[in-house]
Amino acid sequence: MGPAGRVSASHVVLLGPNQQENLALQYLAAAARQAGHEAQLVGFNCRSDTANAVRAVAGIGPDVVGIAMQFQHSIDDGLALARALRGAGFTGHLTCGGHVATFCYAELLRDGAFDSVVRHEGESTFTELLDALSAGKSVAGIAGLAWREHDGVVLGLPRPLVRDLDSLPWPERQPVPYLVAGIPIAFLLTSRGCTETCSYCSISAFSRDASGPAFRLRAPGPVADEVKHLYDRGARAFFVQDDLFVLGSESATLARVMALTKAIRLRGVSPDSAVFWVKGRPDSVSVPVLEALRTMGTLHLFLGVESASAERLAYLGRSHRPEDNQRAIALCREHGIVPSFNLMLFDPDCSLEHIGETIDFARQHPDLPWNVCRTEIYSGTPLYGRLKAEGRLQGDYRSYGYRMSDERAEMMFRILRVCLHERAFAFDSLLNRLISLSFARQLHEHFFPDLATLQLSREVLDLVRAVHVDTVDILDESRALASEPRLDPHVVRQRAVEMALAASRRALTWYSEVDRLWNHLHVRGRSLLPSPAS
Amino acid sequence: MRRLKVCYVLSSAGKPILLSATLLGACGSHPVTVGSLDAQAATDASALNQDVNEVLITLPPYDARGDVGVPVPTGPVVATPAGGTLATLPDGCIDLGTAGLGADIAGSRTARVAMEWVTDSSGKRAPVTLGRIRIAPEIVSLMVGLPTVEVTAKSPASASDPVISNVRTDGNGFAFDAAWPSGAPNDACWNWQEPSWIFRTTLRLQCGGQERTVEASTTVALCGAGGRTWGSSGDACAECAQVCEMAPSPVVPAKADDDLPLASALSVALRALVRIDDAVVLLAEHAATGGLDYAWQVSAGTIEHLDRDVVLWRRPGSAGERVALAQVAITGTDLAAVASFRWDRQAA
Repeated sequence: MGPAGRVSASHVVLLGPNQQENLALQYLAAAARQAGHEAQLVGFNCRSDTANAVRAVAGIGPDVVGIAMQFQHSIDDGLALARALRGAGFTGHLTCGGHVATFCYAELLRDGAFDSVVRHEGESTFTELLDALSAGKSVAGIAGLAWREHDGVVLGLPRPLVRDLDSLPWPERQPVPYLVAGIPIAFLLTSRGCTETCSYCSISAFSRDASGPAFRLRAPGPVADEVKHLYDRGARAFFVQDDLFVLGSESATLARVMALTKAIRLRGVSPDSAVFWVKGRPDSVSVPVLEALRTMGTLHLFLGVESASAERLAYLGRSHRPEDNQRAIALCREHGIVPSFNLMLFDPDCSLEHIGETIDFARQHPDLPWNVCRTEIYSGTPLYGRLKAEGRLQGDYRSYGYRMSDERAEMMFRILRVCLHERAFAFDSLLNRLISLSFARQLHEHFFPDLATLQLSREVLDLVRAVHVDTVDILDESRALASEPRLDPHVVRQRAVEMALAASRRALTWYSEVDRLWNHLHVRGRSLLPSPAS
Repeated sequence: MRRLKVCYVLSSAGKPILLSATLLGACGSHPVTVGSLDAQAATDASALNQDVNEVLITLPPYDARGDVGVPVPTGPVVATPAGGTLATLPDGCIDLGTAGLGADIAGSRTARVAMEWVTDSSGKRAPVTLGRIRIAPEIVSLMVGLPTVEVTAKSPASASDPVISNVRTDGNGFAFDAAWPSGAPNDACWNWQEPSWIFRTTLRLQCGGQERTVEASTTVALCGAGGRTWGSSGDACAECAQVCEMAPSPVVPAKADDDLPLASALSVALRALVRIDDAVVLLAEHAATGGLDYAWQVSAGTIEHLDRDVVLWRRPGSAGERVALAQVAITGTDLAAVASFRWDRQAA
């Protein structure tokens, strides 16, 4: 265990996923630097990054290490990394934070090599932690922190959420922007939290567990200042990571989007030269809202479709109805905005009939970027509480699971776990990569509207359509298999394996096509996009 | 602990040709060897009086106790950089088959170069990058003086040329500065495609009263948007392969306590341990222990088994399909999992 309070200087390394930047850690790093500390970020995306991460930390030699733990599935990797750091001789202060760490602080301090856990939004708590350590003081008593004391765990007073988001320093981004399809892209937050109360959502749970307003907006001016700053660095596409960009009320959304558009334009950034990816809910989409988004430069809307079953939407705490999904998608198509979505096929109490409704929905939109998943259980959510109260929560804080009440639905999930893992459930799944590729082709359609782009777009759309038609067939086949009475375990296992092998064989050339198109768009974009200086 | 030893020679045209693949420590203590000597390769090697090269890789699990082990090369690994020469240890000096390898050595490369960005206090990149040279401790103890480092090849030809200086000791290894007079490189393709450089490290070793020179080559490449991440031979990068709102992967506790089929979940990845020309050694990596059946199949070529979870896959020559597939299906009493490995000649 690291000796808390013995550090003479605050030089911190923050470890966490960096595949799409990591604004959370970058905000922390900026806050630490503003307070006079040194901060560096090191990528840690999964267990196989452990050796590199440990080597990087050893090379930097920090006093403090922080590990991001956002989701339940990242806990085991984070615990292993903490052990590896200690094993490699790191004796400084080891802390962690994030959604899951906020709720599982006691378990992490019990099982992990951590000295403390930074709960909820961490900028102030983390900075105070670094201040205390650099001054040789105890971290005990810091609000928002949980720490070890006499073999026990002590929880500090709760720290309210940051009220004024514009008081925070901008996230400390990488020296050069991320590239997608050869176009520099920047990740951006214009708000934090969410107004909704979806039963499965860790974001809502995280915000509501702390005191203060759960949803906060940045002012348009500072957002536009940051957009301009990033634009001047070369960014031409902005991936807005707000959990809720399109607001619940149409009038509020229009006022917000128009104010942002005006402020951004005032700073010399036009929608021709900068485009946006934003998120919204199907029941918040309307013609005026889409027109305003389009005027701002929005190309892509991640739409919270989730399910095509009214019963499942109600169960998941969603405010929209299935007809909102269809209406929102139709309107997006009319307005030249591509919607992407994830379909939560499974939840603890879904039936095979509910799943069928959502498969039918997917079948109607083979050209759109989408993926399928199961509803996962995150600590602190209403769904977690419900399953726990019902005695249905399986596993422990490192991997909560459940068995669906409908055995056929559970069986279908287990079959898909075998035969659709590579296609849909893995991090680098084909369906995830197609969503990325769809955005890449949109960028070229916007920035390089010529015949060659048209041909590339056709190729991408044909590929997306072919994969989705095939994926719906797999979903149908697994659903049919799961609905058979008295399934023999050996037969099910064999059928699942055969389906998986066949699905993988059919996808053989698709993977190569994704690689080819992704790399081609990348190289083409780099060659066609004028440099910021010109 | 299992270790894979792959032996190969370089043909007169510089093409690596597999001689054998041996799994040490599998099936009790009996090594399993597959592969056969290519007659032409042997003739070539003999004519050139060439040494047989070895690649030695420690197989997982590395972190059973939460510690850090030897990183396994992942993805379509070319263990032999084009034009590079792997180190060959002098006979009678060190037996690589039994000597323990340092934690930072991938394969049996005597020395492995890794590059790091250097940033100033404002987070800006300096025009000088830091090179680190990792060498197995038992080899360091035999070294005479400092190693020398040079760049022997680069791709594309227009890539910046580093100026190497200040080779020095650095912990258990060595370090050097690489200055980039035309500016630090910041442009990179996805998946380690380019730019890349081959760094040759030359060591002088004192072996049995004789001084021997040993060379090791490492391909160093930039990956990630804007050339953010350095990688060396065998590293994998998925940093910028995605830009989307990703659906969560299902989390499944170790075993559901029920009588429904497929109660347990198994996560499997097919990893390329080493590739020598048209042959690749694949490992079916997963966390389960024992009691599992493996069924391997390939879309082209042949498979030779080194162990139930390790195979040597040989593809037919260049006349075959551009993309080929190897698959493994793993089954147990209450589980099944399938993993695939796609080998795209064009991408590789």
